[in-house]
Amino acid sequence: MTELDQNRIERARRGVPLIWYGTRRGRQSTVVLGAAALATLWISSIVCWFLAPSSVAMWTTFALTGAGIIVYAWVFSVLIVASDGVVGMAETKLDERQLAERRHVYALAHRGTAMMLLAATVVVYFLPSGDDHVMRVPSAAIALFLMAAVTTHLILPHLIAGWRIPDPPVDDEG
Amino acid sequence: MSDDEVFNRISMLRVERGVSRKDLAAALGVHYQTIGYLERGEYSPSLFLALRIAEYFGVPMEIVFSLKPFPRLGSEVTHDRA
Repeated sequence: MTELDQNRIERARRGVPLIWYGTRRGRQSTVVLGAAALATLWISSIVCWFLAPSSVAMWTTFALTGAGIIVYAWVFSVLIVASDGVVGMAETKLDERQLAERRHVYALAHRGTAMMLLAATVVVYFLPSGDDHVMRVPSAAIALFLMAAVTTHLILPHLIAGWRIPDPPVDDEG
Repeated sequence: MSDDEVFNRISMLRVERGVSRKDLAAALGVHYQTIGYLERGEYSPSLFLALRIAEYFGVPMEIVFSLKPFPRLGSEVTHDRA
């Protein structure tokens, strides 16, 4: 993943209406959209778990994942503008407040992914297996499950940063 | 009010000297919104940044920062007259 720079953030800012990143309601709505986009991956892995291999599982996965990627592309643009690079920019380009915010966001995201992995472990542990204690799982489901977990790990900091950011101070230069 | 709140006079000093947030931010090497968060009391600076702010305005640290709210301008004069 390439690191952000201020030019890329400014380019993104020109393409995003202020109402999306300039108000808490806009940012939090964006985070909800992002969470929904992320959920499509998890839903796809569940669909594949029960229905793969089949054309229903394949097309459902393509449709959900495609929709999720399109939605998240927009969400990502809004969140990098809203957070002004707190997540994604090189540490050397951030000041002490931004670095402190980044550390806090990553700590929360770490807790979130730990809980997610714990929940996944519990779910897998209690899934019924046959008499031979062997669970047969479609490989597509495993691939999508891992993809969903990695994606969650990567984008959770963005979502948390977008949710937490307070409104920026009013510009004093008119 | 939280116990670890640090009060400051950055906005007063900045306005008095006709310095914009962006100019102050550039001089201190921080994001301009950080100046806004400092002025609103939503972020307490590190000792290093606090010293640099005081140095920028050319005043002792206790003129800029305090653990207690600063008295309103003129309140001491009014108190003395009474």
